[in-house]
Amino acid sequence: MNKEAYLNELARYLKLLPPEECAELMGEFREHFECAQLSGRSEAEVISKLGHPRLIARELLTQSQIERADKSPTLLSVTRAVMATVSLGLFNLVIVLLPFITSLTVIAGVFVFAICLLISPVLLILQYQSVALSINSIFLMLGLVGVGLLVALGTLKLTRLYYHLVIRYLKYNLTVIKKDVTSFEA
Amino acid sequence: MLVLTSQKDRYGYELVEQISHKFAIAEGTIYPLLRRLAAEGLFSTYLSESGEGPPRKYYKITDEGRRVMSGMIEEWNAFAIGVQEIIKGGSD
Repeated sequence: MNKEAYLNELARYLKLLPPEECAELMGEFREHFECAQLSGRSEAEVISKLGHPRLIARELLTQSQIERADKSPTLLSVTRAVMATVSLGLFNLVIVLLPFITSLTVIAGVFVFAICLLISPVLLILQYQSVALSINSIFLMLGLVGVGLLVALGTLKLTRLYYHLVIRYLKYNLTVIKKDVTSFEA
Repeated sequence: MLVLTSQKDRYGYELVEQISHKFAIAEGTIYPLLRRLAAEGLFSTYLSESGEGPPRKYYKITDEGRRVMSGMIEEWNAFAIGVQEIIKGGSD
């Protein structure tokens, strides 16, 4: 692989980044080659020291996904950031993906529970096939719906906090796992 | 990286060279790290013409960067002292 092939491959991977970011990074790598040439290093040597473009690109893409999720934490952006992190190392399947899926399932469960409470009046009416309800059951329904609302709102708040925690964990993970990636390469 | 830039503004290649002299790491992965530190506001960057070759992207440490750096140095020193004491204790 020569310099142009290397840069082209890197550029292909980095296309997924915002264009101005991609251009800036490509400029930086071009600069690296030029500086190395000035200090008398051969292209082949520079390329072997740099490491595989795919590896570098994966790190950059993961960073960018985490930043994006940090700016607008939604289920989609956070999941993307998690998946990008998992692509960095097999070990992340265990320490990132597994906890993420587990905790997400728990949160989904609580949401389902809240929704059940919210629609409980409808369910009750369907079950008894009548609209003639005693005062007692009306109070019961109001109570259930109230609790349902509280649980739903609470979980929504909690989910936002949870996204925040996930992103912080991913950022931390990036600093730790980085050492593994680089020492493997070297 | 923070310490190197706190001494003077550095351009990317200079930092990569300094770091890869001391540690066996893939040079290409230093750029993502630089980018992350800049994104976290620890570095600011500017382009500057150089005597030879094209304009270079320089990294300048920010006040926040200096704060983080001294925190990390303290942490490291405490860690190193701890390790030293354990090694000494072990050889008694």
